[in-house]
Amino acid sequence: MDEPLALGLFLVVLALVASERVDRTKAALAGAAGVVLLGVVTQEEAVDAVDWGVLGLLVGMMVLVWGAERSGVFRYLAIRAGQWSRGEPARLLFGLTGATALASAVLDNVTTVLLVVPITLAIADALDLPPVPLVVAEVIASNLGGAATLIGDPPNIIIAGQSGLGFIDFILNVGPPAAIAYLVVTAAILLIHRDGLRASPERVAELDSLDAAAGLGPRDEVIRILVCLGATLAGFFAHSAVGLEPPTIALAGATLYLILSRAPVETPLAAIEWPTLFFFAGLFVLVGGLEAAGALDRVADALQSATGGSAAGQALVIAWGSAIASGIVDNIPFTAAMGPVIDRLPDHGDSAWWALSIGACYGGNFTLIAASANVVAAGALRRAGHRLSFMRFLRLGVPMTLLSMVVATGWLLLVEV
Amino acid sequence: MSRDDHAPRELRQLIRAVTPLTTRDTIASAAERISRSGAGGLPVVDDDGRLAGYLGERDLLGAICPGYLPQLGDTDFFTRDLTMLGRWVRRAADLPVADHMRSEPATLHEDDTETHAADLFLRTGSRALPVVAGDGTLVGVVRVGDLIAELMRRLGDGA
Repeated sequence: MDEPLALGLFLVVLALVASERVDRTKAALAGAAGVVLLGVVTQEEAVDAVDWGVLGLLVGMMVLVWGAERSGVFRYLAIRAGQWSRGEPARLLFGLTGATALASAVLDNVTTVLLVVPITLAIADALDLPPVPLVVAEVIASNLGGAATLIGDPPNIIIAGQSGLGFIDFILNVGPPAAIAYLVVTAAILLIHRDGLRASPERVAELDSLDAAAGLGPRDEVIRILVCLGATLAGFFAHSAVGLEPPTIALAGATLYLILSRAPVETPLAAIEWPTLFFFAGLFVLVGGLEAAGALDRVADALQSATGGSAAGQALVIAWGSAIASGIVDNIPFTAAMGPVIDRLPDHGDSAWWALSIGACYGGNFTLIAASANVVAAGALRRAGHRLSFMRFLRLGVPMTLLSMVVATGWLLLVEV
Repeated sequence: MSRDDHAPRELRQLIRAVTPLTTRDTIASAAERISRSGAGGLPVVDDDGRLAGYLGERDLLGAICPGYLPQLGDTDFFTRDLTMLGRWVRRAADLPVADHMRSEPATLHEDDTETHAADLFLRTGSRALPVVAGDGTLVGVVRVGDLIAELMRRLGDGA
């Protein structure tokens, strides 16, 4: 009886989140309350099901992201990238999307898009170019850049918590396919939009008139956040060697920033996104319900028998299945539920985790609603008087996701399996 | 104390007649008329004289500035105001008012009390609010300055 209950509640929450008619945090918390009240998990099991490390990592990064936003460092980077282009389509596209992908590898994708898209609108305005192709290319780059690191996208943070794989493991195993996919996809977008992205010399002079450095915050605040971000990144690179977990590094980095920053401590702490944290906590309890009821054992068995236990078969099914699923439903609950499934596969190697990471992150480029960053970018365009419709995104999103998945499949089969 | 002392004060005495904008007026002509009116904005009516919206100074500024401006977080890096803003002003000048008006503005009714008007002014920050009749046709506007003057005058009278 527990299994249909747990599965039913999970699917209802998934559908509610996908429909966007109910706030995702409310849906996840209601589902979590359901599995506890209906006795699918005990109260103790519910508390144990929450991955507190993931929540700690998110909190630490939210504080650091607040500092980064306030410093104007990433705004500076985006303006300089635009000016570096000198109005050449290839330099413009690779400059802006490269800055986006780099920022996204460190910051969360939504923050990256909120920082980069308005600057891109200003740059496109100065150059008299259509902003929509640039913004769509940036959204795609943001989702691929986020896929490259442990901290770049929530599915990777969840996978790290479930698998114990470290920061360098992510850099080495999902970094290269993300970088190659980014280059291939951006080159393809350039081929499609090259002619429409050429600016006149007068307009290039207007872009040059922007004073990127004037948009930076107070010098001492810029130095403080760069020191703290640098120390945190160094800590991530060294965490396995020094025996510290990524959440410890993120929270230590955030604490260092709180101590060094002149801002009253309440201000950066107010930037912590409590709805996101409760959304994750609710999902972990829901997935705990699925685990306790045995539903995930059956999914693992089905996956095992469908692939005959072959590592290549598993990687292919997990990667492509996750990409398609993430194009339809939120990739965070999907990843939270798939992690324990992978854990249950007998003799699974790390390739199964990398396949899940790639599928869940890249799938965010399929549709306009597949990732929060896409929706946020469409909103920023709309407020500036430009329309990015579902179909317009789909026309670029589907082929680019397929292209990036082909690249990643090659990587999985040639390197990981 | 007579019963009338407790009767709500009505706004009717404060309503000013106004020549409204129409949805088809251009932003350029609207800007000139709003500037001349000194009220910080004007109501917009449809062909039947029904209130269709309100165009305030902030809406006007939004029309003649790039839509991404409020999203930038910082604008210190712009060094050539006139090139960019001049282009947007030219682009916006011939647009119809309907594109930039607030289509569901805060509205007063003829029978509303002064207390309700004061509350609405405080909540919206508007300098003037359109007043409509029961069928939605525009009656006029009430200006916040007139409401304050009336309340202060009555205070002076010991009312």
